Amino acid sequence: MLNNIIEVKNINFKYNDSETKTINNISFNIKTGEWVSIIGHNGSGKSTLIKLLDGLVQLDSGSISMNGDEINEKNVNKIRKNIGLVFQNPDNQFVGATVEDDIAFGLENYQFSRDEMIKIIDNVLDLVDMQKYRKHEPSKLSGGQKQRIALAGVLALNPKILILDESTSMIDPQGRNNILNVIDEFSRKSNMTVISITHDVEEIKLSNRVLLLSNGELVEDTSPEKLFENVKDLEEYALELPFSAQLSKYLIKHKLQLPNRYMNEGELIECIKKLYLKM
Amino acid sequence: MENFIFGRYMPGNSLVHNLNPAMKILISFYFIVIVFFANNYLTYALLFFLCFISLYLSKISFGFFLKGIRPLILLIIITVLLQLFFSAGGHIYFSFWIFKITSLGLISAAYIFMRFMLIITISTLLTLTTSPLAISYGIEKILSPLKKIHCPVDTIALMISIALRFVPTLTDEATSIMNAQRSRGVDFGNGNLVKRIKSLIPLLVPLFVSAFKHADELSVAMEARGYSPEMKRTKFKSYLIGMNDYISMMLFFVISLMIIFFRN
Repeated sequence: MLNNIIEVKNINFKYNDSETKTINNISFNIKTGEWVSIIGHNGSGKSTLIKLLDGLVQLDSGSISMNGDEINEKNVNKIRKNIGLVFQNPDNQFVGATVEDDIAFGLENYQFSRDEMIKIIDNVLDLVDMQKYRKHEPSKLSGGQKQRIALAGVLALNPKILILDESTSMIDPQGRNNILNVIDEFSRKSNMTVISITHDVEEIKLSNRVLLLSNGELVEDTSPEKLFENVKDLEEYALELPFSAQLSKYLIKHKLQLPNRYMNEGELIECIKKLYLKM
Repeated sequence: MENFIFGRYMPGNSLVHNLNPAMKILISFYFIVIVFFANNYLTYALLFFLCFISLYLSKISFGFFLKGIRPLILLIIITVLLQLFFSAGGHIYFSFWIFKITSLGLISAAYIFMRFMLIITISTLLTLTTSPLAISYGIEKILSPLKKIHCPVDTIALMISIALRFVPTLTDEATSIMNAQRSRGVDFGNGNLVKRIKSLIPLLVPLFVSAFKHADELSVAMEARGYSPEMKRTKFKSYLIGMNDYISMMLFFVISLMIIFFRN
């Protein structure tokens, strides 16, 4: 069952104090269970797009529908309950004074009873593997751990859509992989749709689809494999090549016989092994 | 400053720690009020007895406690001396220029000293055994009747707890800003007073900017998590009022009755 969970039609948005449109006539659909990466330079409108999807800022024109319901001021709270947002800076989304208080914050807002909260908090702490930090204060956690708690707080509400706004950009690679694994597992299990704004190629590799924004316009809607093959200069899109692509580019430059296409780490290892056997 | 314990919280699991925070705050205020009813040695002795029991039950070591309130001694001594030299009445023992020591002065100095000790002991005990978060919960509970007159008590309590939660974050940031400015040649803590105050500007400006940024992003994050000040919220934290709360309330009440009975 793959119907559209998000339908965006001809949306436009301009901030009051800016001359140009931040979002310029964008349309796209996202299917249930898809993992979509949104990429583009700083100021290309990625974060604004996310805020529009969550109803945090109001559209100038066009329409956004979630599950068939068009977002308007009346139903924005109901729709927001289905969307989990994890932001970039782990410190600026930690509301509670301890880990469990923070996870409870969202549940309190949606009026869960205390017994339900205890059960849910227990579950999500297991999910992000932070059970033993339950009573800890945020200042005693690392950036990656704080981000895991932010994720737990969002997953506690069992959202249909998870939006990551450069959520892994401020934490170390290990913490990042950890979080991405949790999200990957959870989204498969519960058929959750994931939208992630990112500059990180490893994160893009996890997605089914990539949307490329530039100056408020949607310029590319493609798959990660095609993106890595076609785009000659990833830096043009504020991206770094994945490690495997960087390595194969370097090896080709040094005149090794490798196929000139994007390969993931496993494929590259196979190629290098074959090459080694020939020598 | 390190062993200055006034206003600090010491985590623990004693009878006093586990009392309901709202109850504890109310009892402390009640105690401070009855301190002013005491006016002879017997009533003061009763109050000290009460303090001693509370301190004993909190499992905080007596020596640690005394050492902790030592920095406040100077304040107490100055007040006591003022009382001693400037209060008139009764028999005059000693007189020099405007200073005189009188029998009434001696007695009121002794009372002032005891009042100070009692109030400091009970309020230090309150903050030592109650986490800042529990205090904000207690304040919320105590103020909750004000909801009837549309006072946003929940919002105020949430504001207090968020402010407390950001204290360590901002302290960390202040440290790193200070280090960054030091590496650019700013000299903190040297020179005369004006110079020192001036050197705080390169610390305070970035700190304020970053505090505003935190506030801005936090408000978006809170909204995204479904927070709206108008909406009803359920409560995760709850402190029950148990048997011990009633017992301690009774104890304080009985002692206060005794004080009213025994005072002259």
